[in-house]
Amino acid sequence: MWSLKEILEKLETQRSYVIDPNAKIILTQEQLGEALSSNFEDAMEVLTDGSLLRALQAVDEPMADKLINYQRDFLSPEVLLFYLQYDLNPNLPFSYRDIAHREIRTLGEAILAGKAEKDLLVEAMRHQLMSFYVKLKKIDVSSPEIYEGVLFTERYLDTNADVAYVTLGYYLSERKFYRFQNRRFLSVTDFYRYLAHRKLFKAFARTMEQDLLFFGWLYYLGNGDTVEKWLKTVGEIDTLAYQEANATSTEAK
Amino acid sequence: MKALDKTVLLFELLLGTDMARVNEKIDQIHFSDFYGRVVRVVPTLARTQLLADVVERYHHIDLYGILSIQRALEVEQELVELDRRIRLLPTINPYLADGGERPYEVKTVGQVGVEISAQGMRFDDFVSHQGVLARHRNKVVKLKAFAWYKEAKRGLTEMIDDSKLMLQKIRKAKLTFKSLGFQYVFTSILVVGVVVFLLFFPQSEAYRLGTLNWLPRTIYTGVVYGIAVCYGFLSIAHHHYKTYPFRMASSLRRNVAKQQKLSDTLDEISETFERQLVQATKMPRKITTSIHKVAVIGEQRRHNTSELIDYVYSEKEFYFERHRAFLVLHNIAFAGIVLASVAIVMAQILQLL
Repeated sequence: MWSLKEILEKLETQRSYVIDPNAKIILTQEQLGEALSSNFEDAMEVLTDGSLLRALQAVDEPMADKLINYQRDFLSPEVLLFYLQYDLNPNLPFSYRDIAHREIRTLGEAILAGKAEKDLLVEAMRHQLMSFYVKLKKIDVSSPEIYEGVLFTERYLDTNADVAYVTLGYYLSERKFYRFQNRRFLSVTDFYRYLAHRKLFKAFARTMEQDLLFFGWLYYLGNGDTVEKWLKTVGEIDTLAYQEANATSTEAK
Repeated sequence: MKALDKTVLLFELLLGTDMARVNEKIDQIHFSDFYGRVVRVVPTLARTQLLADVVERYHHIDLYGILSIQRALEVEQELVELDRRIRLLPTINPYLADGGERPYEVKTVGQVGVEISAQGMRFDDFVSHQGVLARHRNKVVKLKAFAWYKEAKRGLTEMIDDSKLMLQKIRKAKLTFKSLGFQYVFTSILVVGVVVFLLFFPQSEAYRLGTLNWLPRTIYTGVVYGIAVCYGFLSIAHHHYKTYPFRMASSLRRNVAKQQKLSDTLDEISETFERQLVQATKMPRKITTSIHKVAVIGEQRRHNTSELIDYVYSEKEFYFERHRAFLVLHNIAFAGIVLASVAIVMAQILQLL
């Protein structure tokens, strides 16, 4: 079994995708992309030492140009590799660094279940890689709401990365419900009724602010503006209360 | 800001435009049968939620609830708080149903109007009611309370007058049971005819002398005793029917007396009630109590009046149903007398043969 570096050397030597004419072994662009995708450490190494560029220049001039353009755009190696692997093989599953997820739905479920690689995915979102992938898979055509949602979460990342990440999970998995006490709620109204009926408001209030799934759900349901307004109002009230308290203490002195 | 306040505020913002939820709240309005309809505002967990409820119900969908004055005063206090908060932070606008940017504003705290109707009190349009200013609040309370009181009293007086009129009509009206009357008259004639026949007619001389054959003699004797029993029964039944309107009228009179007593009680209480209304703001609890009392009287009045009307209109209609067995016996007696008369005729024919 050849390593990635060996494959690239053979490509450079043969100056063709036919890397072993005797054994009639022919490499394809897709296979090269897959090799880059599945061996992140090796891929980074061949990218850094220039062997990948040399191999591409030997066998695939257009792809080599793309790589040069990516490098000229000062893309980080990880991001560069991400784009390049899909240039080589658009059929690859979502793969960033050393993580890979075959289906975006299961990726979304993993995010909501807290089983996904949060740091790496947030990083990918920060580089708009998620929206790139969704568009690559033509999900923007089949499910434009998912694409719009992913774009939104990538934009919202700077405001609140945690909420953006969870909201991404809702969009990718298309999960419409919020789970509370082993019950599924499809609308805020239903959830409110439940809380009011079971007198769980206080209990819910204690943990609400830390409940990212709840806020992600609200954003997914399209209540983002309302939540923003709420955050702003709460902030203003807290500020005013603080000022009022300060003024009172000053008067007392 | 406390966690609960934050949560409630969030839900207010989220559901503020959800009319389905508002409608659900309307469905949840409970009606107390104690003094008509009393809205119990949907139980809420925080002050802000209560405010949202009130504002939604009163301001946006034009539903007027019915609250006690005590409740109204509580809500008024809530409005004070709302007003304070809104003035403190004019950008807060969680109470709009239309989702627009128009800021909600409590016009003047204390715009409380209480409308009291026959069903009880109605806490009325305290936010947007035109012309009701804070300084007029007490006046509004008093005026509306007086209006209700007058209405209630007038209604009661009318009801008593109606009862009296009804009583007079019943007294004048003769409850006729035509079929039974005919039976009684017919039977009476038959009885007289049979007795006259047995005592005076020459054809019954053999019976009177005791020389009659055993068969006709037995028939004659049976007929005499049968007629006596049936006629006695018919007489009792007839008397019962004849005196029925009077008995009913007597019962009505008792009911009317009760109504009159009730009216007197209302008058008595109303004096206290009126005095307390004058001091409306100073003694809200007492007002509430008085209004409860008057409302209870109103409820009794409605109940008793209904009972009276049912009594008058249903008694005659259901009389036969309730005395079905009695009626059957009556008809048996009538049939017995008719058969006895026929038997005498048959016996006479047998004797002639």
